[in-house]
Amino acid sequence: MSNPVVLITGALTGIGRAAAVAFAKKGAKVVVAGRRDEAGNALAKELRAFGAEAEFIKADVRKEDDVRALVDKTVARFGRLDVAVNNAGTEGQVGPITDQTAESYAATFDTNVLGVILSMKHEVRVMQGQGGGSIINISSTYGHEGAAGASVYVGSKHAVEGITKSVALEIAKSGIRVNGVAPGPTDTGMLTRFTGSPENKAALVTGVPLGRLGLSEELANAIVFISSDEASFVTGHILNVDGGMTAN
Amino acid sequence: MGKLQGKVAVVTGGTEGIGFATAKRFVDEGAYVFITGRRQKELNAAVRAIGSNVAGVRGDVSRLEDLDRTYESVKAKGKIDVLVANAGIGEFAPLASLTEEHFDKLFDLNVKGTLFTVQKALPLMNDGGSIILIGSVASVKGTAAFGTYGATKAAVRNLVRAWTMELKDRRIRSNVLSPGPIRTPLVDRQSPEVIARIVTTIPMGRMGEPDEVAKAAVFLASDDSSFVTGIELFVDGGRGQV
Repeated sequence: MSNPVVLITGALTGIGRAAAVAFAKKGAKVVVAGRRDEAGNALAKELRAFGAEAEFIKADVRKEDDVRALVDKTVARFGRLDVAVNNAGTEGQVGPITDQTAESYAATFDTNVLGVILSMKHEVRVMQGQGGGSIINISSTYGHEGAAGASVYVGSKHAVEGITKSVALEIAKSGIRVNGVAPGPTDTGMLTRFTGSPENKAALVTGVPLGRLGLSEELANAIVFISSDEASFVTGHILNVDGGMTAN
Repeated sequence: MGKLQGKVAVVTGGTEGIGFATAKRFVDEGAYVFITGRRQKELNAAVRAIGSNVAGVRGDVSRLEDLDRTYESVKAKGKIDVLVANAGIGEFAPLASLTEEHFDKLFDLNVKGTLFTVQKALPLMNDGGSIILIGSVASVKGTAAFGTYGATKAAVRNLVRAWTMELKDRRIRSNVLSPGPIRTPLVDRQSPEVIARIVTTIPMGRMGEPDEVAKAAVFLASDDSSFVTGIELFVDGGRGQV
């Protein structure tokens, strides 16, 4: 597939943005989705500067009407949907379990879990119709490990990995591959918010064997690989891109 | 430009199947590749089939003196950027009747051979290089009469965790690449009934091709995976997720 149609949610910052740039540079037709018009349109313009066809579509992944319209508009604009990167996510309210509430749970799970479920529901609908495609859900090292003070976020990412594997199995014979990419500590705005202080961020790096934070561009390269024909026999897999953190 | 332009790679067990496909891909991506194998005739044929930027070194990875000889040959080309420890064997034997000979054969080649293939390469490896161990989805799945093989691959999978920690200061990345059922010459020698039974265990409903493993090896070998180390990458049609 030389010019795949790629949809990326949560595309306006961090890993989503880097993935959009990486796909655009490879000649993909890219739809970037997010909640902020101005930033979205600016990103689409930036992607077109690489010679790619690109559109911003405003969508909130927590709302099914938005997600349905996002997928349908993508197909209306570019004719199909080859790759979907479900990247929209939130760190939620970090803190001990005694501080968590039904509201803090919902604020995290609505985006990280419901958002992925709704996105896949509509992406798979289109991909089954066209007989193939590739879906990548962005998880986290915390999708398969525990972390003190991050129980709700960790729970949401564990859910993402279970859903990823289950949907992969459901549709394995249909030519649609479903995989996860699990970043370790990556130099993004979310990590800065999540860690709260430079000291906390530095402490996190000590757990990374490669001794540094990952770059959004490195995550983007892994996303491009697993989305592509280079990974044609890979499905249901969670690709850790974590500088060796899980091995430690 | 290829993803491995100017790199030097070593692929053990490179005469057929996954090792051969990997060596071929690496050369296509711009690398110079040494392949090893135990049989001179097959080694020569593989070198001829790949054509250029490839050399064959005869050797058995379970024999330490053979490994020394292999790396003596590699030295002539300089440093190693990518090492693929692929040489290995599979053999069915039920617990109740398996022999010491079966156990030693599998562990000598798959574990001892892999460990010393990496140890003896270290002095020749460039900092920032990539080590790829060919594992198997058998490392995390149970198959009757396949326990010894699965145990060798589980052993290799954990070695890479320790090596990730030991080699971090040299920025050498090490990962396991674990295929599911792949249509290699070894598998082609099985009966159609056996092959059909294997296919039923694969969610994607087909066997993989050696080149599909080779493509993933290119990812792990190249800078595209610069923040990936200590992992097990499954190329298994979903087999490991069932």
